[in-house]
Amino acid sequence: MIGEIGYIFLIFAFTLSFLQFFNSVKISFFNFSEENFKFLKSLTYFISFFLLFSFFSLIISYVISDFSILNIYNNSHTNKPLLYKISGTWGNHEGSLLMWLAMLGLYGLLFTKFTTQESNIFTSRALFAISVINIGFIGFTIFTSNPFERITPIPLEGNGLNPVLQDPGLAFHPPLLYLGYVGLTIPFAYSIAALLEEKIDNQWAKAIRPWILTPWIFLTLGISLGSFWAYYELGWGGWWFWDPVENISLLPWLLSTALLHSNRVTEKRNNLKSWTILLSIIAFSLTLLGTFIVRSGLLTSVHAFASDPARGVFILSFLFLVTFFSLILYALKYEKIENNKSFHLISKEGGLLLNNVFLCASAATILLGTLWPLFVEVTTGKDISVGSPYFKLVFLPLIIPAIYLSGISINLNWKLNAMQSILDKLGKFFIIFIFIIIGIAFLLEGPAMMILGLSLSVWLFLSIINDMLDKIKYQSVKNKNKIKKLFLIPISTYGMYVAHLGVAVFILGVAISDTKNKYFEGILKVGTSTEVASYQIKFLEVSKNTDKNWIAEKGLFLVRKKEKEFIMNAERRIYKDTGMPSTEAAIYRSYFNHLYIVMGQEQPVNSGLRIVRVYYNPFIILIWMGAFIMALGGIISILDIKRGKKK
Amino acid sequence: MKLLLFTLIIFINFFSFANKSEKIDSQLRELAGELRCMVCQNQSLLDSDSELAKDLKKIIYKKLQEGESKKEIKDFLVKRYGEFILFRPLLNYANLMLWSAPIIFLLFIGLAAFRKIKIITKK
Amino acid sequence: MKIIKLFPMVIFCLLSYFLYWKISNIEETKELSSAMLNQNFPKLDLEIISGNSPFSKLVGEQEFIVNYFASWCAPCRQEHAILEKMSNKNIIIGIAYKDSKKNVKNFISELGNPYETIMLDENGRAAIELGLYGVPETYFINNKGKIKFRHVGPLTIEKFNNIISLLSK
Repeated sequence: MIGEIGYIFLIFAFTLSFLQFFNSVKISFFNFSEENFKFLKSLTYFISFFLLFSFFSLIISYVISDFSILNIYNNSHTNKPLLYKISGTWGNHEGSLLMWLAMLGLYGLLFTKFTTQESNIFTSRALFAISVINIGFIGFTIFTSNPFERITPIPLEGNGLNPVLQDPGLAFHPPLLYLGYVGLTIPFAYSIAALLEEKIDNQWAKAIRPWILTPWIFLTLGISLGSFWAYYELGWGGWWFWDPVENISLLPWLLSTALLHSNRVTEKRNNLKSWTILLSIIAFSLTLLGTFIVRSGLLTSVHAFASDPARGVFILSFLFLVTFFSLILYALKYEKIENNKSFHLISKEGGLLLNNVFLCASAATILLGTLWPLFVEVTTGKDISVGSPYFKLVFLPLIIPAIYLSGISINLNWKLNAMQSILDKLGKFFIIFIFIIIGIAFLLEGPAMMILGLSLSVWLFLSIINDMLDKIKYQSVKNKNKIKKLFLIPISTYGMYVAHLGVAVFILGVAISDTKNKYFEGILKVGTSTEVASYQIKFLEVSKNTDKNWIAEKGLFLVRKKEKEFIMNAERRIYKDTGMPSTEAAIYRSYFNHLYIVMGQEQPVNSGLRIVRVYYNPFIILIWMGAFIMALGGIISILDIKRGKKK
Repeated sequence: MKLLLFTLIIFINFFSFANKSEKIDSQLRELAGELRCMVCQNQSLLDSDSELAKDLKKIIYKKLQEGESKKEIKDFLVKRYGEFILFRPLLNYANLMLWSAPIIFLLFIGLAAFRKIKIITKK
Repeated sequence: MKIIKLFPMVIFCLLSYFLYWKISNIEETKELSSAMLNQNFPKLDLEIISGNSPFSKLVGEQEFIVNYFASWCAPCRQEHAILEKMSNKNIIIGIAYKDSKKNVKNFISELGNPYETIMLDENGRAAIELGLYGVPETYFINNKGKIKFRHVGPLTIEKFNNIISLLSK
């Protein structure tokens, strides 16, 4: 019954999307009237409700284990804990697609209600773009990926969920990511509307800002959560594998970061308009591309959903149509929106533009590298791989200048900066920086890569402090109290400081954990010991452990360092419903470091010998903490916008 | 005297062997990280516990001990498993565009951006 | 400038073409190719468990098939009946992968012997010379001693006939 309701809601949403489309076309291009506009808004609200409730219907069906629905039969089991029954909703192709729709509805609703755009025609045009996306995605779901399809006779039990997905990290990773990807629909809609209006001004840039920030925040959180999850769940000690799907997921993040910065220039200097528009379109297209690649079986990856080329053709066609027409519109209206004013290189806008160049170049390189095997296959029929050695080699030289530049740009003012003022502001800072780096190089004598990473981190950190101090000094003419002056700095500037601080923390984590990590792999018998990074590790025993959902071999390790002594448990689980194994690594945190133990199978059987892997990852927590701080910076910036509106 | 010399020789060999063994271990790790596990979804030989990965790692270790170079070992594997096994694509004409991508993209996008930049003119 | 305006679109159309090509040809590209295709059949030094045609008698002299199997491999049991049918008109050499003489002999006495010769690759080292991923895998060698086809996974009559017709072209 609930399944029927969910399906009907989907159909309603689909039909209403067509109405939304025709209506928005009428209003935007032919005949605007307040009444029609109100109707358009109601349509949008109804579509949102139907999509959201359709999604909830599926969740409810999962919770009650309604195995008459094929999707639930394939992906769930009565023994699963409640959290994973719920998260199982989006742990498969059809369900995750429905979640996409729900979020599309949510964003449509929020946009319609909260947009600060004054012109209703503009909003109608944006809704026109949104209606096209609605039709495409809802249609795709109904015709190729119906999550409410029934199965008869009704099975008594389901097939269970992949154990690797039964994890809190993975329960939240897709929703966060999707809130990011789907969120990019709104900047896309804004850009289409602006192109149709043939006008962009800083009002537009101010209005679009929260709609860029919000998806950006979710993408930051979603991607870093995915990285953290892979780290502790997959047992290989790494946090980024340059897997094709990881790369594709990173591209919208890189581009929306570039978009954020480009839009700032549009907001403050009324420039880089075509750049901002193009970035919105490309960022959204990459989202569609990502959807296509994950669901079409195109690339080998641990992330791939069940592949189906027929679905792939559908998404590809949709992706093609949307992007193609958007780019045509862009080419046609380019002259009308872009002004021909140039600006000085030595200025904040110059710095941001340069920064954008590096960000976009790095995104383009990652895209090329990820799709290169495909190009080679189409043109020569050969199979080659492009993996992490390549990406590490090409990505770093592009992102490092971008980081150095951002430190400088933070300290530059808008418009031309006189050489003298730059020397004043940056001179002392630069000298302090050099001293610190020389000091670090002497003290640590670490590998060159680590020193480089540390220098980036210190540079960024110092540049933030430098700008903050300078802003306080500048205000000293009026107010005497320095602390009070801190409050005069706009909150959005603090948001920016915090976000870039997050980047500095992130780089610090990467620099140290990637260069100073320690690794041990060996075959251990119960009772033997080994030592890693001055931790004495004794393999105590292996015991059996059972839960509702799985049976496990639990390895007990006694770890000792100086006076500290503690136990670590590394498990190897077999899940009852699917028979699939998973490893639960034992992780011990001390300050920012991880000691990480993985226990493998008994090999050979009944010998008491097991492969044991131990990783010592210093400062690795800073990687995810840094990402979290970045997101925090974004949240702070959004709060400022809200404050601004209330005035 | 002979015994002392003998012990010394054994000791030196053992010591250098132990060092050499460490060096080979790290070379193995480096190489295994650059090679694909052919029976896994997208893992390297280093990260994989599959039978084939273990066998290949054994062979690589043996070849490193015998003094073969990284290139020789890679060639050996490519002959039997194809270029697909290399995670680092070859530096050849076919992959020219791939390896020059960073520079090319930088130039292209930089040129597009350059039109926006005014060079400071002296007053 | 016209180029700047149109450039993204041109790149995008190119990209779409490649993606479309791949997605429409995805079934064909699924058959795992072999790096050893058209290479000479490598010299394998293996112990012979039964039969009397070592590779030296066959390579370069006549067509033959090499089937890598194991007694512990379930799909190998499935394909065994097919191999028996194939053995009427083809010479099949069986190589047992990571197996023991005893288990292989039991396997054969239970399921029948389609093999002209059975060899043992105990540590799997020889398999690597062929670029093997696992078992079962079957290699087709022509009368000039070159590997012409490699099939991964259990064979069916259909697949076998397809391969034979492909090779005779």
